[in-house]
Amino acid sequence: MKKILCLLTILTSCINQSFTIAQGTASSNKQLDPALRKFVQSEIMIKFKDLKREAENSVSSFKSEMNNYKPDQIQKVKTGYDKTADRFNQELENMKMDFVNKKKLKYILEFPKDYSRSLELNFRELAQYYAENFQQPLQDVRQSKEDGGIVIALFMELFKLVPEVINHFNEMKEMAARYDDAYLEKWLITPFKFLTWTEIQAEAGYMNMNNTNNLYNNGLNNNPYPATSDPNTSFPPVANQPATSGADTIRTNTQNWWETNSTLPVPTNVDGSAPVKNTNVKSAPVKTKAPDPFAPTPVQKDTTKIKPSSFKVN
Amino acid sequence: MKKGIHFTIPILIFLLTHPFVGFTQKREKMDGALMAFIETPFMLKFKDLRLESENLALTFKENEQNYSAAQINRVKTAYQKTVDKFNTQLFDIKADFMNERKLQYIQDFPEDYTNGLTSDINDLTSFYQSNLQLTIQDVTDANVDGNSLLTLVAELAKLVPGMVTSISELRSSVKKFEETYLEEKLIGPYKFKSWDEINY
Repeated sequence: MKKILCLLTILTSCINQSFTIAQGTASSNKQLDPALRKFVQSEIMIKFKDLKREAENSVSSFKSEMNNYKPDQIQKVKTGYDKTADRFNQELENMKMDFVNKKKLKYILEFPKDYSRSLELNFRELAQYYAENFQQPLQDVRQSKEDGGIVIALFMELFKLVPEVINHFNEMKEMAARYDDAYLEKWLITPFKFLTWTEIQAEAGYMNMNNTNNLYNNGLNNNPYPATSDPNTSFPPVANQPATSGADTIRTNTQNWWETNSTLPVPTNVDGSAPVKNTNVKSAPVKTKAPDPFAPTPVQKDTTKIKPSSFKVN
Repeated sequence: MKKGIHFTIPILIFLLTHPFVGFTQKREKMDGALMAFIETPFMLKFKDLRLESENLALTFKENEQNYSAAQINRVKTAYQKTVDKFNTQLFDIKADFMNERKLQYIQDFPEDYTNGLTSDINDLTSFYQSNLQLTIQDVTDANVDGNSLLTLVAELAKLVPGMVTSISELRSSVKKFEETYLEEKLIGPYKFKSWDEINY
């Protein structure tokens, strides 16, 4: 009897699991609904994508000239970039959480000013974080005097566009109930997510970091930090390298570099990763192929149905 | 008949006093909750800020004879614009205290409210710097620098999280506050004085 019960339990859990997986796949295969399409094609998201491209381009061009730098200098830029990318990706995740949290969505629509001000602060902190942790080390290593004008301009525009987000939330409030984690992962996260250092290819002419036969890994310039996606790989310590677990020794300015007088330090977890918002909604990262939200609206039937009775002829 | 009167009088007395008992209890609850809020470092700093700004205006007024009418008017306008901003912030807090749904929101999502308020305080800092501080430094040839006020307002932003925690806590005992009560206990003591109200 006990054996039968055990078997039944196992069978039920298997069915449940496969149902969940099937549901996830089905939801992620759904077409992009018009409201979410409008949001991902909005000015603010375009600016966000531009920022992503700028950062990735900087990494790409740095990678193409990496042979000129010492391993510890490369590591400094790499760590700075990965920390920064992690921050931006966390902000995207937080936005996604807000979409799937019905209670939160209700509050956002009820108190839009609070939400937009909060989002604005998050973006300002991101700007500061970008400047201090990625832009500054990159300039130091390159000994360049570039002021990062394009990125500053992008951030400035991003701040101004924040209040518009509320309008999109308002438009999406009815459809949001149908959004789930996999769906948002596909349409909101994947296209805007910052690539990791190892995912970024060098500019033309540079040999891939993952290629073990490239110049960077030859005997003349031995790279102690080979590009790898294996999280278990441990790197040997490098002389003059700041301890990653301790305080961040990267030079920072006491004042914000753009224009505000924010005195709040950018909150950071002990390991330098971005803080995660407290939310009751849990999400599991789903790997999906990046769709193109900027593609023209499909002609096929829409998710919003218009009742024929809604048309009235006077 | 006499028996009837015997019963009616205590009931009448109870009915007459009962609303007052309820009122006193409500008032006590509000007092306790608001007291905890008023004693937060944020509100203490806010009061310091108010006193310091009034002191700044007073220091300038003491030496008014050294300045032209146009210069005095510039400082007066800058002061008034700046304190209006600070007072608006205080009125916003009052409005939040009177809104049951908003208090619930703060309790449910304190991080959002903290960020929003921090953003507002950062804007106040910028506004003070580019208006009152710049003007008073310009008019007095930097004899009055206004840096003490800048330090205070900058410190205020750091104290927002503690203040929001206090609001979340007071929500447990009071669902919302009444306007007249807040006018008396919150606005009265913390509102920045207008230029004309500042005198020896």
